[in-house]
Amino acid sequence: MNAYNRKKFNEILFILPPDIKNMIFSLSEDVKDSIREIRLRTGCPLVAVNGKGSAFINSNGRLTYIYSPTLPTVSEDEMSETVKRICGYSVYSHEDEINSGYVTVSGGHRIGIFGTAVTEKGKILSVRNINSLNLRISREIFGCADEIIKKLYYAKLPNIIIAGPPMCGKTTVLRDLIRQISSGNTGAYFKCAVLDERNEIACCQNGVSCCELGYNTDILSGYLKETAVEIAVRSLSPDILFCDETVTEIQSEAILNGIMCGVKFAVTAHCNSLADIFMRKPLKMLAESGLFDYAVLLGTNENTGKIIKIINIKGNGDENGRSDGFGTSVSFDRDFLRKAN
Amino acid sequence: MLIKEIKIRIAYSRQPLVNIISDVMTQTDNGNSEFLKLVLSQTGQGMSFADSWSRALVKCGEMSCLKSEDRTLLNSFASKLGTSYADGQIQTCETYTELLTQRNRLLKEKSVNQIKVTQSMGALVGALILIFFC
Repeated sequence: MNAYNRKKFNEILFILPPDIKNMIFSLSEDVKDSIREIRLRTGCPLVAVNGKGSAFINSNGRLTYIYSPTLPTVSEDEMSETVKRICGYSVYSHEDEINSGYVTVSGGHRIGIFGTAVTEKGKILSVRNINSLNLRISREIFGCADEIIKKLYYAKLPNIIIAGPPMCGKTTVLRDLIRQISSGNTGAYFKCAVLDERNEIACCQNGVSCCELGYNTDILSGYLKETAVEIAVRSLSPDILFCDETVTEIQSEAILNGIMCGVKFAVTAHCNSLADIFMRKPLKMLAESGLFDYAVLLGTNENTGKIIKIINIKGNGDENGRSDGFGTSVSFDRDFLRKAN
Repeated sequence: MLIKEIKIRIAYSRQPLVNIISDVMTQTDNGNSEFLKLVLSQTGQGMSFADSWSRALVKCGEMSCLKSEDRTLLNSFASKLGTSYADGQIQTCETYTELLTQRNRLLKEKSVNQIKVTQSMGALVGALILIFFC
């Protein structure tokens, strides 16, 4: 683990109560390097997730893949103290995030928070009896987007979808892609804007990005994607927009309208295979619009962050209602263009 | 005044506690700032907010005239700060403002009564002196 990522790993230890912190701290450097997630559950042993799967952390500071009743467990007090530390002793400051199931802490680490939801008319008002935390270790891997830059961004700015299953490194690759494009690695300092709805790409703390995103990047943190596209196009005149986890048709529509305003996009999406891109409706809208050039599929486990496949998904179509022959057309939103100009 | 500031900032900007305390500290010139400095520095060293507040209160309480009941009340307030959503925090601030106001009123009444008693005692002693020695 390089010094930078070691520092980031230690950042997440700081928010843990002393006993748990000491257990994890005493793991070997190789083991720490391999850990992607740490799971805390009330009354259950600590679990570390790495490339090989889930392992328990014993009181000797070692990983074991075999359960034993003697493994140290997380107490209610430790869980409560950890939640307070995660929120900087200001739970109210993270209400919306907790209701959304996660909090991003200093260093860009995303922590999943789960318990009993208090709902009203289908909306989560609050979460009580928090009993489960998933600490996702954020790492920046400089150069992990080199292959994408070399193959797809040489002397051009395409529209791309970076796809893959969970934990395949989509956000890490996207982050490096932003950094490289914004820093002039593709031949110019392109104006980049990051639509960071869940604060996972830039991981801003007090308005400052915890991750390296290049010299010419604007960050819209917390904005809804569909709103952020319009705001960015209108006010930032970006060369390229980046967003993570395109999940709804409204978001896809906003992205397509953005492309038709002349802005390039690089988006990520969850899917198991490239075939899924043409099956999930929001992704199908993007892929079949004829506006996206490439879909890049990333691998998992030993191939985490590596390109498994790149396919050219651009079709041919007319100006107003693009159709690439798959039977889906996207109508051009002239109102959007008028507002953007 | 401190509680009022905390309540306003939680209600309108949802700033983290540490930021609120830091802002209030730079804006206030009274004795609160030494106490708040201690709270901030201890929190920065990894101590929980409630513990930092409690220790700072002990240190600064020695220099002031805070009674143990006052300290208990203030520690109770700190233990609830930052532990719930904004609505709950605002309620907490309002409740403790009311409790501290009542406590202040009680202490003032007590001191006024004490003055009256002292004055009465003084008048009585004076009268006794006149009776026995004059």
